Amino acid sequence: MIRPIATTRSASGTPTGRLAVWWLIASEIVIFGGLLAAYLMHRLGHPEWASHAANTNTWIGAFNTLVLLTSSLSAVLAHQAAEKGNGVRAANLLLWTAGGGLVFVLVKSYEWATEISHGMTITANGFWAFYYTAAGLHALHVIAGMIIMIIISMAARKGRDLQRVEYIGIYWHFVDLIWIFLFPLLYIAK
Amino acid sequence: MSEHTDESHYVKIWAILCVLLVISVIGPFVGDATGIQVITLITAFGIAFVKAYLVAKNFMHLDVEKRVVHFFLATVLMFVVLFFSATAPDIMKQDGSNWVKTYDFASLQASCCDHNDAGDCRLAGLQVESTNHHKAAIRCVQCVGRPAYPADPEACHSTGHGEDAGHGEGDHSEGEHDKDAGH
Repeated sequence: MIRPIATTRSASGTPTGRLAVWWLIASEIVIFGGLLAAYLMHRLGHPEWASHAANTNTWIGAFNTLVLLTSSLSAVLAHQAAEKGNGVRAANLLLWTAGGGLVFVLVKSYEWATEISHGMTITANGFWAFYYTAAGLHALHVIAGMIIMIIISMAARKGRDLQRVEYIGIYWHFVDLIWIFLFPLLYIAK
Repeated sequence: MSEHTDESHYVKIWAILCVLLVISVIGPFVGDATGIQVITLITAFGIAFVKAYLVAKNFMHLDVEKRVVHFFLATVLMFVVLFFSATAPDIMKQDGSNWVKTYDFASLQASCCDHNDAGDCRLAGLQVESTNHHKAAIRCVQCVGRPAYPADPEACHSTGHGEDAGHGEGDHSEGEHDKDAGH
């Protein structure tokens, strides 16, 4: 089988595929970093936003943090299994990770539906505009990660392209990392 | 690439992250109860950085990654800091040496109500007045019978419902553009 060049070439000492993932993450840092920095400066400039932030549900946010941290554990264990050449275990652990993402999205859907039904919509005020934009952009990354993970798990189950298990893992940990900062900003600072 | 091949190592890191999560949730409650804000800051935001470090080091294996990766991650982080530093003063400050924000009525209104202890803040309109074309002063205008948000000081004057807080008609500025034009 002819392997894609990205998986075999390594001009920098890092496999090119993995380097590409880090490059993607670097661009994501600018996207999320810019959004969170904008939120932070507006939040500090608007003390009255605290009254809006008081309506977010800390326990739901904490539960979703736990879900993402746990899914990160299964992602890194999938990577470990792939390194040992155990494609079936890697695929199963990736599916568990995607399952964690599904739980996260379902909980978030319930949370948003409750908030929207109480009039806290994206157009309500500046706080809710940032809340839905930041959490929504993050949720889109979770969904994208789940889809990619399912595709990679299908190949990994057959023992193919196991290096991709690590690549999607790095991406997933980054998505987890973003949530680690979103959680205190949106749910704890009240 | 990982130098940590033991599964129990990852489980241990996950357990530490969970404990940190519990602390970050409980900490702000303690901070509110005791009135010590620094507890909230450390437990909510300080711990977030610790958790991020643990994930990046142990799960993303950034500690054993090539230096070139560290280099461009640091570069983009610097861009984020640059963005924040360059724009935060404009966003976070209500007035400067030659300008004042006229559009941020909500926070100005809150500020007026705090200072003047107005009985009915919902009816407090706002007016930005320039006293010497250098430094703008924010005045509260009691705008009887008129919704205050968004406040429209011009409307208060033109319809005669407003009561100026100390300056005569025509003395008020329309905002920073006029003040800048005065130089």
